Amino acid sequence: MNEIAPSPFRPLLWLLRHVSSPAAANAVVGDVLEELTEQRAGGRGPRYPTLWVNLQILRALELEMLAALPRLVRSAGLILRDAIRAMRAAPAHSVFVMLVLAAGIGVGTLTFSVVDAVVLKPLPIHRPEQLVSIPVRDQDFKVRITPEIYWHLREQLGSVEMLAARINLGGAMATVAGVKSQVTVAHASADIFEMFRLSPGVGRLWTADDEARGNTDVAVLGYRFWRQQLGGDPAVLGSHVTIGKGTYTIIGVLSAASDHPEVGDLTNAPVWIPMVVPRTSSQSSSFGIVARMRPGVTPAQVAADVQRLAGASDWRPAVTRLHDGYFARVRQWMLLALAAAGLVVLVACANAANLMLTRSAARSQEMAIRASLGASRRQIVLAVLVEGLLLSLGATAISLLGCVIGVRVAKSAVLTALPWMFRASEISLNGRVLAAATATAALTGLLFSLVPAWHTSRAPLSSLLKDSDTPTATGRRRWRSTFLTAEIATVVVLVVVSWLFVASLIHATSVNLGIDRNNLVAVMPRLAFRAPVDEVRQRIEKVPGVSGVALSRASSLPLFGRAFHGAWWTTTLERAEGAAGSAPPVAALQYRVTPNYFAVAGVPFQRGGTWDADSDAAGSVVVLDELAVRALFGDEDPIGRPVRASEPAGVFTVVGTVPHVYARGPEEAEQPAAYFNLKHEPARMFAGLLVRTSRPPGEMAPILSDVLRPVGPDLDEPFVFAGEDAVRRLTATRRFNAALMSVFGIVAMLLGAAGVYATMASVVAQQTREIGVRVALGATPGRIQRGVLAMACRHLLVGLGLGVPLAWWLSRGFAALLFQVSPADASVYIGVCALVSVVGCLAAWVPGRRAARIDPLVSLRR
Amino acid sequence: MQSHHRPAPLGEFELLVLLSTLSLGDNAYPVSVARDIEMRTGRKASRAAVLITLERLEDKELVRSRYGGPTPERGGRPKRFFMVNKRGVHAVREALDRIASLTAGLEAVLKSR
Repeated sequence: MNEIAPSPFRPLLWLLRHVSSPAAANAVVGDVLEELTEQRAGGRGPRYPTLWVNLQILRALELEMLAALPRLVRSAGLILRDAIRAMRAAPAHSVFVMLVLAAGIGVGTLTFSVVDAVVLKPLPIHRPEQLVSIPVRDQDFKVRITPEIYWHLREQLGSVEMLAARINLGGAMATVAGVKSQVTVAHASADIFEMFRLSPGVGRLWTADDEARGNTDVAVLGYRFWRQQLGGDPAVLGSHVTIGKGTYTIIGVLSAASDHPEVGDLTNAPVWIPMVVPRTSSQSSSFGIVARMRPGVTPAQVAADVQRLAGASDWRPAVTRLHDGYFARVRQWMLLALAAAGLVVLVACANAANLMLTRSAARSQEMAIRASLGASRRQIVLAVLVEGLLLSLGATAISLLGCVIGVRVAKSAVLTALPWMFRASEISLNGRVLAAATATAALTGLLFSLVPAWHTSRAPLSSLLKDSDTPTATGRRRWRSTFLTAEIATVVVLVVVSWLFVASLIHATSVNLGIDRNNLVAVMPRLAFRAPVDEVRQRIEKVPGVSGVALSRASSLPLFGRAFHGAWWTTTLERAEGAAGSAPPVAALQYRVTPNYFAVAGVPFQRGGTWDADSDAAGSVVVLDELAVRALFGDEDPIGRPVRASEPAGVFTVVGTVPHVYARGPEEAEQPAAYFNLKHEPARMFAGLLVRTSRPPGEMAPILSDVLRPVGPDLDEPFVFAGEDAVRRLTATRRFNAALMSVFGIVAMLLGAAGVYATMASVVAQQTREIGVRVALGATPGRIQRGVLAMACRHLLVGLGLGVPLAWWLSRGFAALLFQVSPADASVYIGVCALVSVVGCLAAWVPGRRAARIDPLVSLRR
Repeated sequence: MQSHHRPAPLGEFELLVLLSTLSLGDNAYPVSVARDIEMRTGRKASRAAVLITLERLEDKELVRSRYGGPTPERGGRPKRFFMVNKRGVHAVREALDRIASLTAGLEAVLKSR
């Protein structure tokens, strides 16, 4: 009987070969096959021979691994001991490498802690990327989704799983179970609970059935509000919530799992009451729409579907993901910052690799002796790799110590500069950050010791005799040059990036906003004044230090509206003369102001002037800004010409023109503006006052707040703002990211300088004999020093040659984040080249001096 | 580097494996040793356990191994032969002496059972 021998499973065989040796593994397989033959001959052959053979090999593998374990542990211990010894033998080198790495890892860890908290950590709600908000009005505030269309969407919109009406009304005075407080009330349809995966902790939530049956005088409380304001008392069920004239019975409290203050406007409203969208054909829409998209659907698809179902051919709704509202505007530059921090880590790695290479040169004799005593190449490589890992772990420990303070500083910097930043209060040194730091440490440890390890293991025995002329030494020099050049190129990239951001900041802050923001104060409450607006004005005018007060509809106060709160009202303008070939209609910001507005705001007239408030014509005049004039009249004189406006509707005569005012901040798209007369007694709601003061706003704002307290709204929040604060707020992000990028640029520059210095110093130290010989043969100290500088310059030139195109190529990717500066701006690159060259030469100057002072007698004796 | 101090005393299975290897002479490889132990002692010895024991004894420098030529009945794979060296023989002798010294005077008891 000659049965075919089953073949063993290849991966098992491969493993066995690596655990023992190829020959031993072969013999084991032979033994197994022989045993199989024997069993078959005895009639005891296994039913599944292949399985049996592989199980036998698996068993052999298991036993081999168990037997090898103590040996592995022992050799790991030896490698560790060697690495520690090597570090202790050169303490200065080890400390320097650790500090260089710590700087890189520290910057990386700090940046990650901020970016992770704000952008990377997922929102604490179920599949947040599927949630979208669908606007019901277009940008001119015109209702596009009426209640009728809402119901049509609910029934027909196939690209979403569910759709709900919702609006949060903040600052409402409510009495909840006898406790009076100012709360945010979430008006929502029942589906909102399922959409946000909210469940009741106490009682129940209302349902669509309740809404259909008209049981809508019920309320649900938010968990946090219930715990903090009502002591977590379950007896609140059945008691009442009174808001204005409405009374609602509390039927439930949301569960603790719903408590996510960071997305409080989604989950933590203190009071939730049903919103029932009527099925009538009403044209008003006082609700918002949120929806959960089906998996794989994009907001653009939803927008297209909504446009089709709403029958609005001229309006594509801006459907946005809810989570974009939290970090969309910082996401891109935060990720850029993280990438920049990654580059800083790479610079540190290249620096450390160079230092390790220098050290490996000094250790080549030691390694050659080891190799001659029987150390395998693998052992030598492992020893250097482990040394690298230990150094990077040490560096991580140092950087984490620094980060304990650094994270607090970063957090307070973010909270101060960008108080609106999402989850800024959650910036901390948490498990995710520690894991990232450790992973970075392991990666950097491997990265920077890989080449030195490989190089050290290649040291031939001949290096016992001499070092300088061996191929290894040449290879090492080549690698050192490569690392130094790569480091300089990376530094160039980082400095270009930070330069571009700083230039953007300078441009943004030097824009002439068209309004005199010094000594300018706005009085602009979010809710209605408690007294007539004219009375408010009279109170302000009586305050010493006030030189002028203008009234405006608050939503259109320039700068302040965007910086604090307020919407924009627009209007469409066109020439009313019916001239052939006249300009197309222009969408413009619509201001309603008193005639003294221009004087108070410090907006000078270019042509014409303001109107007389008491004249009959006041209601039919308009002042245009230069953009509107250019768009409507070109170079013609617009004074006295009629203009038709959509809101306020009518024909208005142009009486003056003013410069363009950057009402939404220096970086927002410029939109033309039209100023109309504000009637004498404006509504208390949406009223705002612009105040010109003769004393600094810092002094005036508290005084005005005190004076206006009796007539201001019943709200515990500031409503008097200084012009400078508004501008500072509008440029806060720009200032913050410029500062952050500058930090990266400076750290990279310092690391780069340290790299140039260390490399040149090591070159000088290793060539001491050679330099001594040259000096003995007549080379002057100046010539020696120039030689060192020339070597540094060669590296700098190549580094710049690589870094500049790389920086240009990369910076095109974030051109959208820059302001009035092109990624290809030659002046930036010239400046960076000059800066990097000067710093690099300075760093090489010290080793150059040292080389020039080498005494040939001393050096030749070594 | 291996130390040349006295090896640790042999375990029972190690002694069995060494004795069997000695008696098989030039034909001692895991399969034959396992078969031999089973045949002569009635004790089931797996080939894998024998191999790992022989490798341990090799680490202790009590046996040494060599590979034979390819064998067609084993799919062309070689045998790994083990030989007991001087230190191994010495260790066996010591182990047997220890047993002998412990059994001295117990002949009557052991025979009566």
